[in-house]
Amino acid sequence: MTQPPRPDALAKLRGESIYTADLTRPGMLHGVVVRSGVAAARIRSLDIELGAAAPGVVAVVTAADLPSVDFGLFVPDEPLLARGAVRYVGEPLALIAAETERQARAAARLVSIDYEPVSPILTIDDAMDAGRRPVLEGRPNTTEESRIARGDVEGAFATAHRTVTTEVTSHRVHQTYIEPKAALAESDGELLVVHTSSQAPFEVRKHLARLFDLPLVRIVVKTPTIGGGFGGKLHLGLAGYVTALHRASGRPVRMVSTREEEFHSPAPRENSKIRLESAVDQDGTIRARRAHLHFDAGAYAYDTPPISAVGAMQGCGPYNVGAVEIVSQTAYTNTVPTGSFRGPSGPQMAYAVEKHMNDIADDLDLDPLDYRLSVAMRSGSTGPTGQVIADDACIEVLERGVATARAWEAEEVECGPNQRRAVGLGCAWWTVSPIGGAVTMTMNDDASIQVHTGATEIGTGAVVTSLRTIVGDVFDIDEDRIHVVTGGTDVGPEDHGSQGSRTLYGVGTATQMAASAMRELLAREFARQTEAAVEDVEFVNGRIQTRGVPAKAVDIGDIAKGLIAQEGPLVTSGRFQPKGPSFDTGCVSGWVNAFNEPNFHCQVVEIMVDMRTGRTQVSRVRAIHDVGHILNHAGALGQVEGGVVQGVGYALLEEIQSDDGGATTNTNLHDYRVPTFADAPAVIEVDFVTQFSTSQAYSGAKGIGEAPAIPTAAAIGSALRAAIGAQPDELPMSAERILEHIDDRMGSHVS
Amino acid sequence: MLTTTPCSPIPPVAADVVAFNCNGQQVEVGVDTLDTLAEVLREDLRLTGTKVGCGTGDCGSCTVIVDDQAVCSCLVLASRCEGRQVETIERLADTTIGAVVIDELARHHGVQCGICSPGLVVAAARLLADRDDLDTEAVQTALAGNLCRCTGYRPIVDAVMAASQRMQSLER
Repeated sequence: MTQPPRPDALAKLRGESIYTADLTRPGMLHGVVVRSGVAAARIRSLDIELGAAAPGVVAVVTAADLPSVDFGLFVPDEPLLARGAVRYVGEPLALIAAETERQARAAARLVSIDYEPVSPILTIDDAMDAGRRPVLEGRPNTTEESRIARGDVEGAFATAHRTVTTEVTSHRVHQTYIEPKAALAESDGELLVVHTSSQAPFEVRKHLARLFDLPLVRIVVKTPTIGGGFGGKLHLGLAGYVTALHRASGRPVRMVSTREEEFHSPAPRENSKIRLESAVDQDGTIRARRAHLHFDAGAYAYDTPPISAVGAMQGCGPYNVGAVEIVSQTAYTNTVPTGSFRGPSGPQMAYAVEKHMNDIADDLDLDPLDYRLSVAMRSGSTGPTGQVIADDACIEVLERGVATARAWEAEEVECGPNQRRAVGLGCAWWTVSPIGGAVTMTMNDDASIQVHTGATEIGTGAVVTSLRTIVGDVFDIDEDRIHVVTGGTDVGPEDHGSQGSRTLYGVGTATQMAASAMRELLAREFARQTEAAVEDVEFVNGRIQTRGVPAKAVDIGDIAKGLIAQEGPLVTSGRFQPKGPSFDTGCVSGWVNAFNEPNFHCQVVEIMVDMRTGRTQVSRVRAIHDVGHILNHAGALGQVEGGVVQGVGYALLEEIQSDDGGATTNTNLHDYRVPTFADAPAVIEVDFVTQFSTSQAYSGAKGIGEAPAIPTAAAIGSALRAAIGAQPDELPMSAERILEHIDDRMGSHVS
Repeated sequence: MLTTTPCSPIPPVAADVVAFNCNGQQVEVGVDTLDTLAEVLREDLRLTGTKVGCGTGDCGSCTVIVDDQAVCSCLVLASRCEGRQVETIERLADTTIGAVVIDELARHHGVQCGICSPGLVVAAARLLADRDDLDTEAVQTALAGNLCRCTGYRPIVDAVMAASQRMQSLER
C-alpha cells in the first residue's frame, strides 16, 4: 500500500501538535470542579467560605452565581452546577479558579456541603418501579422514546409454531479517549473564545449561548488537535465551567479533567435491558417480533432519547420480520449521565439480536448460519418501519461471513491443553447520519485551494485527508495543493460534528459540490477563451484542456488569475442535505424512524477459551463491511481495526463498576481494562464490500466510523456458545462469568 | 443526614530548586515536593510534547527517558531528578532511532488522533536501542504499557518491526 502518510502525522509523532491542555496564556488560572460525593440528595447548604479564602484562589462559582437555566441537546434538563439537589456522584456543585492547579484542588477540599440524602435510584429495575420517587421532579423515571407497531403481532403469536424469548442485560463502558477532556476560556475583545477538545464545537457554542445569554456570533469555540472522542466529546464538556470562571475572574482559565474525573463525568455508553420475543414458523420464518428495550440515561437525558430510538430500529437486526411491536424507553437513574459511544445502542442490540437468532436456531434445530442466510434482508425487504431495502448488501456480507466461518470451523488449529477453540459470526445493520453539511471553497491565483469547513478532525483523517482527496479528484491536482481550514466555529459553516459516521458522507459531498461549482466556473471561462464547448473541457494533471487537444492545455492558475482579475475572488460553496428514506410513517413514533443509507456488517471471530479460568482471547477476526466506495484506504482500514479492538474490549474486558452508593469504583486505567497491545487479535482481516453505493453521496461512499465496533461482541458470543455450549445473557463476557457458565455446564470437571 | 466537612488541608509542600540535564541542556526549576516530572516538563519548561493521559502510569503517553531508562514521567517526582539526564520527544524525534521510528509510524499509518504517539515513539526508540532480536510478540509485550485507543495496534507493531529492521541494516 503506497498511500502517503496523512498530513498531520509528523507533527503528532514529533510532539509538535497542540492539544487543549498544551495551551497556556499569560495570567492564566487553573480551574477545578467540586463534585458531589453522594448520588441523590437535597443540598441544604453549600459553604465556600474556606475554599474561597484558601491560598491562590481567585474565583469561586456556584449555582447562585449563574442564571437558573437548564441545558441539553435533546431535552434541556441539566443545570451547569447543581441547584438545590444532586442527582449523581460526580455532579458538579461548584467551580474554583486558582493560580495553580494544586491550589485549586486543595481549595476544593475545603468546600463544605450539607446533604440530605434520599434513597438513590441506581438500576433500570429501580427506575421501572413506579413506586419510587423521581430522579428529576416532574419527570417519570421511564419515558417512551420510540414505538413501532406494524402488522398483526397478536395474530402471529397466537398461531405461531413456536415462541422464543431472549433477554439480555448489558453494561456501561467508557470511551477512554487517551486525551482527557480539557478547555480554556478567554476573551478576545468582545468575543468569548473557548478552546476545547470537542467533536462538535457548534453544539458547544449553542449551549454556551443559552447558559450565558450571549448571541452566537459573540462566541468562538476553537478545537485544537483532539486526542480521540468516540462520542464522549460531543457534549459541553468543560467549556461551561471555564467560561463561568473566566467571567468571574476576568482572567483566562484552563481546566483539564483527571482520569478519575472522567469516570465520574458524562457520558459513557449506557447500560440496557433488552427483551426480544419472536413468533416463528418451523422453518424459522419470523412471523412477528415483540421487543421491549430500556436504556439507562443516568441522571440527565443527554443523547439517550434518540439512542433509544436507534435501538428500536435494530430490534429486528438485519433480518426479515413480518409484524413488529417494539417499544423503547429511556430509564433515568441517579448515576453518571450516559451518551453516545461509537455506534450508540449498536453493540448491545447486535449482541441481543444475534443471541436471539441463535436461540431460535437452537429451538428449531436449525443450523445458525444457514438460518441467518434464509431470513437475511435483501433487495426488496422491508425494515421494521417499512423502509424498503434497495440492494443485496446484507446477503453479500453475510455470505462472505458464512463462507469464512465454515472455512475456519473446518481448520485444524492447535490449542493449549486447557483451551477450547471456537468460531462465531455476528451480523448487524447500521446507518449514516442524515444531517447534511456545507463548505465554502476559495481558489488562489496559483490554483491552490482552501476548503473552509466547520467539521472537526478528531483523528480519523476524514477531514484532513479525505476532503483533500475529494478536491484532488475533481480537479486532478496534487493533494498538497489543497488545504483544509478546520478547527472551530469561526473558520467554516456550521457543522453537526464528528458523529454518526457522517463526515465523509455529509461534509465530503458538500465539498465535492463546492469543488464542482468551482470547476464549472473555470471550465466556462476556458471554453469562452478557446471557443470550445463546455462539455469538452477537461482537467488533467493540473491543467485545463479541450478533450483531444492536449497541446493547447493551460495551467489552471492562468485561468484562475484571469477570472479573479475580471470578476473578483473565486469563491464557491456546497450545501448537502440528504433526503431520508421513505417509510411507513403511521407505524412509528419516535426520534429516529428509519435508517438513512442502510449499511451491513459481518464479523467472524476465532476465540480461545481457557477452560480453567474462563479467560478468553480473540485470536483472529475477519471484518466484512459494506462501505460503498473507499476514498481513503488507510483511513477506512484504521477505522475497522480500531473499531474491532474496541469491540473486543466491550465484549470481554471493559466494564464500569460502581458500589451500593452509586459511585463508580474502577476510576483508573488499570482497574478499567482497555485493550492493550497484548489484547488485540493477532490477525484482523478486513474485507470491504464496495459494490453497493449510497443513493446520494459523492462517489457512493457510506460511513465506516462506527460500524466496526458493533458486531464484535455478537460474534464472540456466538463463538463462546460453540465453545462451551452456553451464551451469556449478561455482558460483558468476563472471565468470571464465562467460568460460571463452564462450571454450570460441566459441574466442576474440566475435560 | 450527611455532611462533608472540610478535610484538613494538605500541608504546605516544601519548595526546592532542582537542577538536571534536559535534552542536552542544564536546567534549574523551582519545584514543590509533589510536582511530577511530567508537570515540570510541560508547565515550567513548556515541553508539551510529553502528554498526560492518566496520571497513574497506566497509559504510557507521558513516557520520557531518565538516565537511559524509559519511565512514566507522571510517576516520577521532579525533585528526584537532581543531577539526572532527561530526554523527551522533543530531543528524541531528531535522533537517528527516533527519526526512523517516526518515519515508519507515519508510513504505516500508525497515527490517528496522535495523543499516544510521542510516548510510543519514546518507548519504541528505547526498545530498539536495547534489543535487535524483536519479533511481533516481543514488540507487543514490550509496548503493552502504551495504550492506543484509535489504531487497534497492528500498524504500530508493523512500524516498529520495520524500524527495527532498518536500524539493523543501518548498523551493518
